[in-house]
Amino acid sequence: MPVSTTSSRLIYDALKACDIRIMSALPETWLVHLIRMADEDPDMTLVRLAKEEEGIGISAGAHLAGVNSALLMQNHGFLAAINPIVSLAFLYKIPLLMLISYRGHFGEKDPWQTQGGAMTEPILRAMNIPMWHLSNPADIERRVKDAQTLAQAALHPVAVLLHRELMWEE
Amino acid sequence: MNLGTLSTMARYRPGNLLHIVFDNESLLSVGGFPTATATGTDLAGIARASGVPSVAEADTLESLTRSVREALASDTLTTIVSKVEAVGPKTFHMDLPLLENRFQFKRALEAMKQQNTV
Repeated sequence: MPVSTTSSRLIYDALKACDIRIMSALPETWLVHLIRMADEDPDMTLVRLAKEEEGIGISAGAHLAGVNSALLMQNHGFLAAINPIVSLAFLYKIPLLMLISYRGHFGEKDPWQTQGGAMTEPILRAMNIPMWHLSNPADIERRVKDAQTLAQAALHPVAVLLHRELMWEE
Repeated sequence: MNLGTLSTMARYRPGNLLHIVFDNESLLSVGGFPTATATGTDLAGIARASGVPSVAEADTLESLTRSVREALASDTLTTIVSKVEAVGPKTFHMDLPLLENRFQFKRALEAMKQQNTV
């Protein structure tokens, strides 16, 4: 499978370095190794969701209970989760570390991903959600750490966009 | 919540979760538009079919009290669907601002955690 195991491992290790102990996810091609790593890690609680918006509730509960969490989602899952991000995370000042696979952007072959790819950044900006781009493995450790630091300091959602160059080897 | 969450709850079955649905079969705040449960949708049936291990229907004060007590004592994930009359309060104003409530709740959880580790 051309999903990068090396980058997935670096991202997973960066999350562990932030003391992330709960991860929520829906199955998604680019995230498959990350989900497997979380599943195989006895110190990580992986919550498999029916819909991305449930992950906002999981992370809200984790934060209120004093546990760091992260959300793995495709950008279309982010689009599906906008209401709880606004009406739960913004309203109650809940930090969210959202790792979003950036489908439908340059290099995308699946026509059905392309509209979501074009809308992801404009919507993140419209929602005033700070975003980091991850396309270079050398940036992973620092940017994941800085994203988590900002989310905790601001009590606000942040997005880390996982680019094709990082996640897909062809 | 969305219906899919019932399947996520059933998947992990947290024994310390009691899920109560008060169903007035309507969107009361705009004058009482009927919701799907007014026309036959069976939430308790959906919860059972999703795999929630314990599901109860309790439409009276007595049966609700009994169901809640049983659920809390059982250490089993339970969904209780409780049909209620479509009557609302005069106002939805609360004396407790949302954020104050949120930080109070987080501090209360922290205090409980401290107590449990002492």
